[in-house]
Formats: sequence, structure tokens, C-alpha cells
Amino acid sequence: MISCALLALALAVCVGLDRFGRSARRFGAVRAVGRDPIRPTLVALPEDAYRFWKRQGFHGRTILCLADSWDRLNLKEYAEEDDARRSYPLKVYRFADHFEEKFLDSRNFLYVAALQGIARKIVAVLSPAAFDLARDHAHHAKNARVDAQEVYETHEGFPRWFTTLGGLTPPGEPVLIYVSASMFRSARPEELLAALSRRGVRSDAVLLCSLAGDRTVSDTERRALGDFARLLERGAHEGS
Amino acid sequence: MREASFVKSPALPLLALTLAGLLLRVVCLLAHAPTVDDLMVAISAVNFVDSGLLGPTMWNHPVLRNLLAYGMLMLFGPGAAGVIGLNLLMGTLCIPLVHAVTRRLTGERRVALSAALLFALEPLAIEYSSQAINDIYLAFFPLAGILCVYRHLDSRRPGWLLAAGALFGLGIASKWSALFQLAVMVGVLLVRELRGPQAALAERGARALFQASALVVLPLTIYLATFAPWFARGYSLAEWPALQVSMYQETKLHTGYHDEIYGDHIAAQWFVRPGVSHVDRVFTLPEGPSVAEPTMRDNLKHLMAVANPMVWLAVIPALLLLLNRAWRARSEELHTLAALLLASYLPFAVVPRPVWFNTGVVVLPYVVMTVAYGVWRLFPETGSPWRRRVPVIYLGLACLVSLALYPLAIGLGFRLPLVGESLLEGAKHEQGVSKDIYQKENH
Repeated sequence: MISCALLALALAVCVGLDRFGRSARRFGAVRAVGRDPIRPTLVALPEDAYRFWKRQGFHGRTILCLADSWDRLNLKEYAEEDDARRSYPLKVYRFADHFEEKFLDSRNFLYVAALQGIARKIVAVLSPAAFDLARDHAHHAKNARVDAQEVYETHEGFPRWFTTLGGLTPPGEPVLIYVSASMFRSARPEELLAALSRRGVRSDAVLLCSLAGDRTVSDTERRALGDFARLLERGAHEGS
Repeated sequence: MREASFVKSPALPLLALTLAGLLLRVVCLLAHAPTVDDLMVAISAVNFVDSGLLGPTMWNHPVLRNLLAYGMLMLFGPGAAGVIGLNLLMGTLCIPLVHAVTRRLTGERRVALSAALLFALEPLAIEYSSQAINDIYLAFFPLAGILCVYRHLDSRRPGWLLAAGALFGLGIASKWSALFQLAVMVGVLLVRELRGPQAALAERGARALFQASALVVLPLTIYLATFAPWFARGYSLAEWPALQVSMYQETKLHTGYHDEIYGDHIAAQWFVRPGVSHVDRVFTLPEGPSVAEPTMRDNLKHLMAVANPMVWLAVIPALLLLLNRAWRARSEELHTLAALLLASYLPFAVVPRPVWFNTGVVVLPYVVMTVAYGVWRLFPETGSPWRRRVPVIYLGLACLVSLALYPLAIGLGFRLPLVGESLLEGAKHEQGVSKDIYQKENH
């Protein structure tokens, strides 16, 4: 009898936590990329994308990040000098808010999105060259899986996948899409839309970032970003 | 040898020991400002409960510490009581727990009191009862779990085994090393089952199912439940095993948070090298504008938990004696004590990564039990009066050594005559060890 109760308790905890987790995800109106017309949101800077997600109240989501390269953070850069004046009562703060307030920028906006609970996993679609770099890095990482199409590497337990447009697998749930203008260094707008459409990607927020002020991004790439926006708005892609 | 009257009725001396242990721990806590770890434990607790994220400190360990620390912060605020209070309580309660478990395993009150005495005064136990990191949980929860398993075996009441399962669950939810003691106690139940009177198959099956439910299903359920804030980030149950794998990988390959490795980090040396220690440092500037230039001597607290050599260096001979007596007496309990010591220690000794001496808190309860048993067995009740006094003399000396090491544990080392200067010089010129050897082994 007690054994049955304990087994039932274990089952209830498993089912309960699973439902609790899934129900914590916050979505908007979901549309199929390339099939349904989608009005993307244009932002100038990556951190504007983060602010948009936060304003919309998204939570527990997969972020599909499409960019030419992956800026790898070294968190030691953000280490603050210990002022050595600790005493009781301790000044305890919410780390995510603290980091956002002090450090949010174009390089770490996805990290902040993870800290704040907007992202629960990230899929980064990169150029083939950047993917090769991610693969090399993963060979030295403590927790990584590498195959020809995909690299899985966690950061302090936070799951991230790196792939290329050709290697992208269907996400299996609606995603928050972030497209950097730099993506069009290695992909054409039609090609990108076709790939997303073919994988059945669905999204409730597509953000296009022009990377204003970034001299590594050309006018051609920014124009391609605009073309991609128009293709999204049109919807009903041929390949769909 | 006649047992002294205080040994026949140990409640009062045990209470005195516990209070003395508490006093030493409180003084240790008050003797220094909060460490970086103390602050980061509090921040990590808020981070986990509010955001479901593991870290920023020690993200690879299970998460009970975050929940308990958060609860304490809510109850008592971010003062010393809220940040350290629970650890202080657990570290103090370990003293009567060591007594109770030793008494049950060895059957001797004086051995039990001696073990409790050694634990109460051991600098490592004192220091980690006075800091916010959760090593002391790994002494407390398994000890309480072991005691409950024996209460169940003695009384056959199922409630004790459920309590044991819950306590081991809390232990595993603190750090995975509680699995070692749980495995030993599962082994004890199995041996009892195999050696016990033959019962009907259905009865044995039902008993085995209950035991498995209490000591496997219940701890795992508690362990899983402690991750509830992580699930609040939107994760499903299917995503949870991947988190466990990443925690395991980090734990397996962890080489510390600095660019090089500092401090004693080879567990294989704990029982053979005198002076093994764990050091924490707190550099504190006075509040407000300071007149004097800060110096290491005046502003650095060097919290140095040095293993009492009279205890730690006695472990191997005491263990050999324990094994010998266990074998000769065919004693299940003595074998269990040896198994608890070996199961708690050997994984740290053989694992190919640095293991700092603070982890010794996990092993310490079984160290003091084994040494206390050994010293009373080595000098038996028969023999000359001088021989009969040896255990008391040994314990007295061990206490004196622990008390002599106490100022180091509470950060007064630099001010000590004779050793202060060399400690200061050592701290100034401490050199780290390269991580290369571990990284080569691991990749």
C-alpha cells in the first residue's frame, strides 16, 4: 500500500512538473513562416530584440537565431571587482536584473534573454564557416555533442544548438525568430525563407535586426534584410 | 574497564558537547565578514527560485541548497542568521547524530561520545558549519538517514524507512555524494534480507518493493521535485535528463573557478599527509573612508581549516583494526561502519579531478567514528592501568590539537605567535598548480 502510494507520488511529481513546465511557456499568435503572411518587427540593435521579447511577455521559449557568426561570451569580462566591504546584512540582488541593468548589449542579448527566462534554449543557424568554428570549440567543451549537421553545447546547463541553414531540423514548437542582417552575407532572402518554410518553422515573433552602426554589415546585406521582410509579409512561399 | 558514570548516562555530556560545538561555530561565524561564497550562495538562491537558473555559483550541483537558502533568507533576512543559520544548525546537530550513529554501529557509549567529541572540535566541521556553502548538508542528511534506517531495522516501523528515504533524498538533492551512503544502507537491507528467516515469496516481494520505494523512488522523487523552479522556465520532463548530463559532465571535469588550482586538492593524501587543509580568504575593508592603507595582515582573514593530524592520520590503522574486528566478530554493524567510511572516501580518492579538502566534511563523520572505535579497541579494558588510560590521553591530546588549530579556522592565523609570520608569507607567495594534467586526462 505504501509502495503504491510512493509510486503514485513519483508519477504525480513527474506529470505535474512536466505540465507545470510546459504551461509556463508564453506564446503570441503563431504563424507558419513562409506560408502565412507575417509582419516582422524591425529593430536596429540586438538588444532591442531582447527588449521587444521582454515587453511582449514571452517566456520559456526557443529562440531561433540566424546570424553569420556566433559571438562567444567570456563571462569573466563581466566579473565585477569585489569591493571587499561585505558585511551583514548582505546586499542580495536578482542576478538576471543586475546583469541586464549593468551589461546588456549587442553581444550578450541572448544570454540576458536566457537569464530572464525568455529563452529556455537557443538554436543558432550560422554560416558554414561559423559552424566550423562552433564545431572546433565544442571538441574542447565539457558537455557537447558534435555531428556533421549540428553541434549541441550547453552553457552552465543551458542548452544551445549550432547548425547551418542546410542542417536545420524542424524545431517542433513555435519559436522566436531573430534574423541578423549579417545572415545575408552567406544566404539569400529567398533561400532563407524557403529553408524555414521547408522545415515547417512556426513563429509568433520574427525580429529582423539591421545592426545599425555595425560597419561589418554592408548595405547589400541590409537591403537583403528588407527583401526578406517583404517576402515574409507576402507569405505563401512557392516551396510551401 | 569500568565505564565512567558520565558515559553510562551520556545525555548530559552529549548536551554539553553539542553546546560547546555550537559555541565554537558561532564564534567562528562572528569572527569574520561574509565570504564571497556566502554572498554568492544567497544570490544563487534568489536566482534559482526567481529565475530557475542554476548558478551563478556552483551551478553543477543539485539545487536543494538554493531552496533552503532562499527559505532562510525569506524567514530571517540577509543577516548572518538567514545566510548561515541553517548550516550552523545542521553542523551542530551533526554532533548528536554522530553520537547516535556511532553508538548504534559500535554498541559502545564511550566510543560514541568520543566520536562526537572529535567531530565537535574538528576545525573542518567548525568552519563548514559557519559558511553558507552546503558541504555540511552532506554530513547531516546521510547521518540522519543512516540513523533512520537502523531505527526501522530495530523497530520494523515503516515510517522510519520513509524518513530515511526522505533524508537521503534531501542529501542527494544537496550533492550526489549522498548516494554513497545510501548505497551502503541499501546493501545493509539486502544483507538483512538474505540472512533473515525465510518468509513466503509474496511477503519478501512486498518487503523488497517497499524498501525500493522508500530508498530509491522516494529520494529520486524528492530530488526531481527540488528542480521545480527550473521547470518554471518552461522546460518539460523530457528536457530534464540533458540538464543532469551537463551537471554531471561539469562535476566530473571540474577544476575550480580560478585559472590555476590552489590549495590541497588531492583526496588520496587526506589520511597520509599531515597538515592537509582548506583555506578561504576574506579581504575586508573597513566601512567608510579608511585612514590606513589596507594590508594583508590587518585586512585579510585567512580561514584555514587544518585537518587534526591526530584524527586524520589515525584513520588507516583504525580502519585496519576495525576491519579485523568486524571480520572476527562477524559484525554486520562494524562492517557497515567500514563500508560507510570507504564508500564515502574512495570515490574522491580515485576520481581524476581535483577534490578540495572541504569535501572532507562528507567523510568526517565516518572518520571520527572509525578513529574513536580504533582507539578504544587498541587499548582494551584489560591490561595495566597505564594502558587503560591511553584512550583518554589520546582523546585529550586530540582535543588540545583541535583547539590549537581553532584560531586558524576562524581566521586569526596571521596574528598567532610563531606561525603567524610564515602563514602570512605563505599566503603572499602561494603558487597555483596548472590544470593541464586534469584537462589532458579528461579530453
